[in-house]
Amino acid sequence: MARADLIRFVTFSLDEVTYGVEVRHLQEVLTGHDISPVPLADPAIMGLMNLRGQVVTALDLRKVLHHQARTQLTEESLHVVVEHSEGLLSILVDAYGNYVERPAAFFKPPPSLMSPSLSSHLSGVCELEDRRIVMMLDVESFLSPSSDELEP
Amino acid sequence: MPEDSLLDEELVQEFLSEAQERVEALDQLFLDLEASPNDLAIINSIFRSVHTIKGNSGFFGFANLGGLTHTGETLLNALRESRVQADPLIIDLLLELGDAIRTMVETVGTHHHDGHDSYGDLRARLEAALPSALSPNHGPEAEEPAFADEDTAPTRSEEDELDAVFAGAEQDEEAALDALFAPDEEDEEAALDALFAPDEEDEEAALDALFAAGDHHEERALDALFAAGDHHEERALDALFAAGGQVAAPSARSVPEAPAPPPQVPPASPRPAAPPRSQAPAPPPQVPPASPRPAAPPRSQAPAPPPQASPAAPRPAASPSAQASAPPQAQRPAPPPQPRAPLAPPSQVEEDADDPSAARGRGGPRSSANDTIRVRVQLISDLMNQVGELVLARNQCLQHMGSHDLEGLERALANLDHVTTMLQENMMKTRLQSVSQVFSKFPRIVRDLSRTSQKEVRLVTQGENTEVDKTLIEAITGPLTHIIRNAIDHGLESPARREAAGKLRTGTILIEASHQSQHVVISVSDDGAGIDPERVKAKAIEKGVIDPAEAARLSPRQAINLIFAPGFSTAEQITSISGRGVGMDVVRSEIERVNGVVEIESKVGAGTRIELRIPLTLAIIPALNVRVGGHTFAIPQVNMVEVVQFPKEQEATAVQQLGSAKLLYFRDEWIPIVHMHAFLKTGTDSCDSEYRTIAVVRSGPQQVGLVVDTVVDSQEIVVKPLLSAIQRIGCYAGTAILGDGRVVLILDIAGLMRLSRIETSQSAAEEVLVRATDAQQLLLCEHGGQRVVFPLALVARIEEVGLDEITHVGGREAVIFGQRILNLVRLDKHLPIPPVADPERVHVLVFEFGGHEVGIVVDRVLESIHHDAPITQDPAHGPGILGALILHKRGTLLLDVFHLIEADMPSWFTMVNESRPSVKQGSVRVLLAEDSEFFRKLETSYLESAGYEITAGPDGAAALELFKRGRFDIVVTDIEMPNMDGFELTRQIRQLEGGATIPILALTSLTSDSAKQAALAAGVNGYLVKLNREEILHAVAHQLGRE
Repeated sequence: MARADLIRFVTFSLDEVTYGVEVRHLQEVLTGHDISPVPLADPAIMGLMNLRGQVVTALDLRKVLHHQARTQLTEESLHVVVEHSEGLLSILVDAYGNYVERPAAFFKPPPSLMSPSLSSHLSGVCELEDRRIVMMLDVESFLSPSSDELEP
Repeated sequence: MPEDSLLDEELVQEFLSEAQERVEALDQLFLDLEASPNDLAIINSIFRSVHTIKGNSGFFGFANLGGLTHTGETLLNALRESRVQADPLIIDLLLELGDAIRTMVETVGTHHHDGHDSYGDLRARLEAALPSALSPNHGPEAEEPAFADEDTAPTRSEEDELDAVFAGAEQDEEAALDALFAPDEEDEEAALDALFAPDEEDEEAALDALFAAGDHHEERALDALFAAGDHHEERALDALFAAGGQVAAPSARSVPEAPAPPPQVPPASPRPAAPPRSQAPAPPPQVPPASPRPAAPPRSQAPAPPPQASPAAPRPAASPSAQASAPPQAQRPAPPPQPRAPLAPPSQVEEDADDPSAARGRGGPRSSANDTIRVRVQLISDLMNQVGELVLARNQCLQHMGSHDLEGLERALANLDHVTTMLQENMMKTRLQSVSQVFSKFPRIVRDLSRTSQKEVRLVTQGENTEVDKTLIEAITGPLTHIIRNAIDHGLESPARREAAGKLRTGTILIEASHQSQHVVISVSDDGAGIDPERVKAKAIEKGVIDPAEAARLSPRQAINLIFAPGFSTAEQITSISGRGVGMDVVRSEIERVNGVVEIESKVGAGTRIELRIPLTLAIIPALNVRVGGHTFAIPQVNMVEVVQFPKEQEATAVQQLGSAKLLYFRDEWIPIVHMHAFLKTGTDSCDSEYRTIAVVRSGPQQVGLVVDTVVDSQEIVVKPLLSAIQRIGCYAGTAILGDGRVVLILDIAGLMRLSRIETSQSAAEEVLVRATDAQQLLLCEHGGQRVVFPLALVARIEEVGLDEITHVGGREAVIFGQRILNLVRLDKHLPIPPVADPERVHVLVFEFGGHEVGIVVDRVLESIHHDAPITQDPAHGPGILGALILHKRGTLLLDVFHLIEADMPSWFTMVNESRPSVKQGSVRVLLAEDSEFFRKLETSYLESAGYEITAGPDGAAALELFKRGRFDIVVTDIEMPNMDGFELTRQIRQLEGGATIPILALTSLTSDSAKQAALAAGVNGYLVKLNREEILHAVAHQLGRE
């Protein structure tokens, strides 16, 4: 009963911001992978990679969330592989965080003042025990046609 | 029975697959019955199917389904006893019954109960159809369904069945049992004798004989028998076979539950009982059912097979000694073969529950049975064998690796390669299904539609056994259904109109399927009214699909293809038949989604034929890998035509830039080329090869040359789907992982053509202004049998138009492109050459000057060539001809474009002339220095047309002499000339008396900045690109005007 009220997620950081992905969406985390670019694709799509015979689409979360910084692909690039309804996505991140369990009560919808380009990709925010705020990513919102319209 | 009762999932699946199979068959049977209402065999078949479903639903407690089938059964019984006639009304009722059963079965598939609708209305009507004498007897039974009683006691009908089994009672309704216990055909009797005679040795042969005894109804009969008793089946069968002194369990379902019975008889094995394997030390006591190969090739290292070989593993474990302790097949229980799989027609793989009605649409809820596929046991056995060999090959590899035996490793790898290929091929076969699955739905659709539309339709199908990948079966069902609906709704005429047109009252729809190389071609033809291109155009304009101007320039074929345009429907009014919100655009996009092509042919009054051409399989395709800008892309081999390679220095001759289009002369045809690095924006042309590589690809009839960096290799690739975000780009069909682990994108050639064409048309306006500067090129054309050449640089672009697209605007021939009217000039009008020889399509060379475009019509463009032949001048050549030359050993005329245009449209030409700064012509003398005879003639004709007086010299030195002797107002000179070039000529003139201020214009095909700087430094007043008549005349006038 108590466990049902807990939301389990992992955190990672990108440009000093802590994001979270619910464990049910998470497939695995990995480092450095060959990525084949996709010409003409949305700039948020960094390319395709081969994960043990499955094709995973690598996403530049900075582009998705309209961060200014650039993402560089390196041997040490950190990937968080998540399940999207259309297939596996890999999100490139700066650093991995922790596995966290938090009661559902600590989850709130995205603040209304947040810019739509960010909030449209969040399922909500969660306050951690140390009062830090985690942006909970809504994996399904990535690459949806409606989110593309927000692209500049 | 409550919903949450322990319905064994496996049993439900079996119920579903069987019920759905029967429902599918029912439609056809109903229609067969309509065709021959007195055929007892058909009625019996229907009866048995309905009865079986009734029996099964009784077992699972599906009361609604049981009740309905019971009522149906009553009616069928009346039919069987000829108390009711199978008239169309009854057939309608039966079809409705079939639909209701189907719906319920689907509900079972998704919800594990048979729904809440008990179909009281249908049942009432079914009962009403019964003869009155019968109704009272059966009425109460219907009111109180046999299955209302939900405890585990056998229901009444089941009791009946058991009675039938044990007593062979006359009132037994199960034809199967009739056949078994009261055989009325001799051969069946013989078969049964054989079955029950203990001394008959070959029981299998007996069973075979039994199955072979009658037509396929016996097969159904036995099916019914196996299914009829439900959970009592085992008891019934035990009893049945015990009576014959044999114990057998023909139903594979019972095999796992009842292990180790006395030696079993394989049910309906395709060949006589397998002899014990000679190489097996201990013959397995149980002969596997449907063993495909009685004897496996002996293997020295083969250990003793497990005593109980799994049913579908005919071959003893083919495992080397390394694994002998644990025979792999014992660890891996093979799936039990499905009871009727061995009876399935050879090589037929059925999906358990394909969409029973395509009309429901593909997106509808799918029953869980959809996820299963029916595969022949033989195929599974083959696969098992190959997996065994795969394990063996792997172990051999490991062994040789361990002993560093390189030679052995090589052999083992070769073996591994072979086995993998076989495995792949067979695995693909499991996905193949015959199109009959789709076709079998059409008789019903055609019947319903012909009744509602009151047309008489005969459906003919051919090639039903053509096999296609499972995913493609799903993809073509919807489109085909829609095409057939269209054919009946729009294509075929009413019987009265057909008769009036001198046709048979009954229209024919022919559906054909066949394999053509790597494709499956399915066509739907009707002998109806055909599609009237004019009506299509009118409708398209009305619907806003195109504007009238566009419509006017469409060829009939293009017009017909408008029906594929989004938002188009040719229906005069939306009928219940085709007014379903899907149009031919959906058909096309659905087919293109699976890499297919839709083509349509139609002749007014004669009919329409729509052809779907789809690849055999989507999953694994051969592809050519190419590199573009450092990335690898795969081109499906189905799209490949040829790879063309030539040294880069030959590019100028092989590839022509004509206005917006770059064309490659390929096999007597001009085909557009797309620079892939530019198209994909992968940066600059990073190809440092000395060769230009062009992959010529096709999609439908259209060919395109793709300029790539290199061709990597050809591989079979496993196609994986793309995210829709990438799919939306439009030029990728999928992705695949190559042997080296890299991910490649598969190019969607059709999409790529679409995309690149859009880009072409967008930039066309600017590109028209970009002129090719290679002045030495001529465009060779043929017109009325006469070869003619035009200076290529003058040609803005080439259009291909149908003769029927040529219209008259203001008394002039013209072609309408979008918002622009292109006036046409006919060569035969001004030159002594015959009119157009080929009436179908012509090429229009578009010339542009003064901001206007004019087209010259030629039969066809042959090629663009370097001109180096001398041009002969002959006064006999009339105006419009600059000269003649020999090209390809044929006399060819060099035409004066501007004269032709002027002659054709003097008023328009004057208008253009007047826009120039006016000069006092006639008194103006021009000195022209030009070494090329061709250009000398051409430039002379330009300048003379403007009224100047021309004196021309063949090089700088000659011109200088002329200048010294004469008096000129302006000098026009070529740069590159023998003896003295244009720079030197200019310098010399500037030093002469009267030469310091005379305007000098340089004409050249050299466009580099350095050449221009040199010319200006030498003292020219203007620097012009050759052949641009307007620019030259304007510049001359401008220079003179300034004077």
